[in-house]
Amino acid sequence: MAKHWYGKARYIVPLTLVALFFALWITADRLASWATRHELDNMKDFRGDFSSVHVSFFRLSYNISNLKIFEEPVHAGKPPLLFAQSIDAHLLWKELIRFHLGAQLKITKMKADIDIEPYKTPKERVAKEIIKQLPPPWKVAAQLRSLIPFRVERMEFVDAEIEVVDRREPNAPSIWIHDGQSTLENFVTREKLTSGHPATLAIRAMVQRSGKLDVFVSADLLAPVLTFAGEARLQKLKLDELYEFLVAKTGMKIPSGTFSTFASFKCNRGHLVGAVKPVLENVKIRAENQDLGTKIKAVLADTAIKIFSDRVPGRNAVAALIPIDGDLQNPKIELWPTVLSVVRNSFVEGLASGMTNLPLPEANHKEGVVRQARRALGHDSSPPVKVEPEAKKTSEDKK
Amino acid sequence: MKQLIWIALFAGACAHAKHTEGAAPSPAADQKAPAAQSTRIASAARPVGTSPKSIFEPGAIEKIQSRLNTRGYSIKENGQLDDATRDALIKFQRGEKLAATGMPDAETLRRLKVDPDSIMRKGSTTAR
Repeated sequence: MAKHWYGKARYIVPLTLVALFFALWITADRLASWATRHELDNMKDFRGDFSSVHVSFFRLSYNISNLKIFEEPVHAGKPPLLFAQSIDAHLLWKELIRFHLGAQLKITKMKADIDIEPYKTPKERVAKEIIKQLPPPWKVAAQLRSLIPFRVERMEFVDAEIEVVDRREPNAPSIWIHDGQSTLENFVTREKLTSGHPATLAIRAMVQRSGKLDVFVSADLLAPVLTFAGEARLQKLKLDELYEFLVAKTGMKIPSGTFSTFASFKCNRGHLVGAVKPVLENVKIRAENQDLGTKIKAVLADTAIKIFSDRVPGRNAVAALIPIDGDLQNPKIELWPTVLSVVRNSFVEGLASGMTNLPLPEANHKEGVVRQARRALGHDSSPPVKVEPEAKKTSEDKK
Repeated sequence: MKQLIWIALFAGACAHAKHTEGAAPSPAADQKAPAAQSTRIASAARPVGTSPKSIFEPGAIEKIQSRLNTRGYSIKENGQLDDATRDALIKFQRGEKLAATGMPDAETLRRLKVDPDSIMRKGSTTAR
C-alpha cells in the first residue's frame, strides 16, 4: 500500500510544483498589477495610474507602462505631475549569486511638471514651511540603504522632459528642459560592493529650444566627507527664448543674443572650489515697457554690454569669471542634493552675473535710476557662488 | 526738465564707464570651461575627476575611438573626448537604445566590446 502511495507521489509532487509554477507565471502580472495599484492608492496627497505591469522571473525584472502620478485634488484636464512611458527595473543575477542586491533601472520618456506656486495666505506659507522641515525622501532612502546591501549598477533616463512654471509671476514664465538623457553608474552603499570605480552621473539635455546642457559628475560615495568633482555647461541658449522670464524680472526684452555658461568644481575633503564663467554673445537689450525709466535702463544696459564686449565681429562676447568656494565639512551633508545644488546655483549665478549689467528692479532696497545706472556700468563684482543653502539646511534639520 | 536731468546723468554715466573701459573684465577670448583641463582629486580613494577623461586610463579614449571607427563612425583617433567623438557616441547610444549622453559609460563600453575594467581607472575597493 505504502509503495503504491510512494509510486504515485513520485509523479504528483513534481507535477504539482510545475502546475504551481505555471499558475504563478500566468498570474504574476495580475498579482504585480494588484500590488502596484494597492501601493499607488495608499499614497498620501497623490494619486497614481498605469496601463500595465509585467514581471519576468527569468530576467528578474519588473516593468510598468504609462505610469501617471497626479497631485490631489485631481481636476479634469489637469496634467499629471509625473508621467513615464516605461519604467524597467531588474535585478542582476551576477550580484545575486554573490548574495548582493544589484539592480539596473531604465526610465523612458519621463515627463515632469513642476509648478512654483505663490503662497495664497500666510497660513499656507506656514504650512509649506512645516512641510519643508519634514524628512525628505532621501533621508528615508538613507535609512533603507543602511538596512539593505544595495548597488545600482546603472540607472538611466531616456528622453526625459521637465517643465518648470513660475506661477508667482503674472505671465507664468516657464523653463522647458527636454530630450534629457541621463545615466548614474556605480551607486554603491556598502564597502564590499564597490568595484573601485567612482559613481558617475552624466546628463545631456536641451534647455528651451536652443540651449545645450551637459553635466558630468564623479563622486567617491564611500569617502568619509564629501568628495566629488565635475563640470557643467550650457551652450548657446538664445535669450529671446527667456523672454517671459526676463520681462517678468527686469521689464526688458533681449531680442537677440545668446547665453552660455561653463562651470567646473571639485570638492576635496569637504572643501569645494571651482569657477563659473558666464558668456553673453551679440546681446541687444530693449525696453518692453514704454515708460521713460525702463527705456533709460534698457539703453544703459545695452551700452554697458557694448562697452564690455570683446568687439569680435559676429561674437561681441561679454564674459566674467565667478569663483565657487564653500565648506562642506559636515559629514551629515547629503552628496547628491549638494551636487545638484552646486550645478543649479552655478547656472543661476552664471545667468544672474551675466545679467548684472541689466539694472534689475528687484534691488534689496529702492534705487533711483542714477544708482541703477552706476550699478549697470560698474565692474562685475558678483559674490562667489553660494553653494550649500540646502545642504546646510539639511544638516540643521538633522540636528 | 526732469527728463533733461536724466539724459545728462546718463551721458555722465556713459563717460565714466568708457573711462574705466581699460580695466573691464577680460572678454571671452577663450570660451571654454574655467578649468578646461581635466583635474583629478589625488587624495580620493576612487578616481574622482572633473571631466569624463579623468576617470580613464591613458590611451583609453583612443581605444574607444578605434572601436567606434570599426563600427563605421569615422572620427580622428586623437585621444580627446571632443565633439566629434561625443557625437559618434551619441549616435551609437541611440542605436543601442541607451541614454544618449555622449559619455563613454560602462554599459556603452560593454556594447562596444570594450571591457570597462581594462580602461577605467580603478581605485581602492575599501573605504578610507
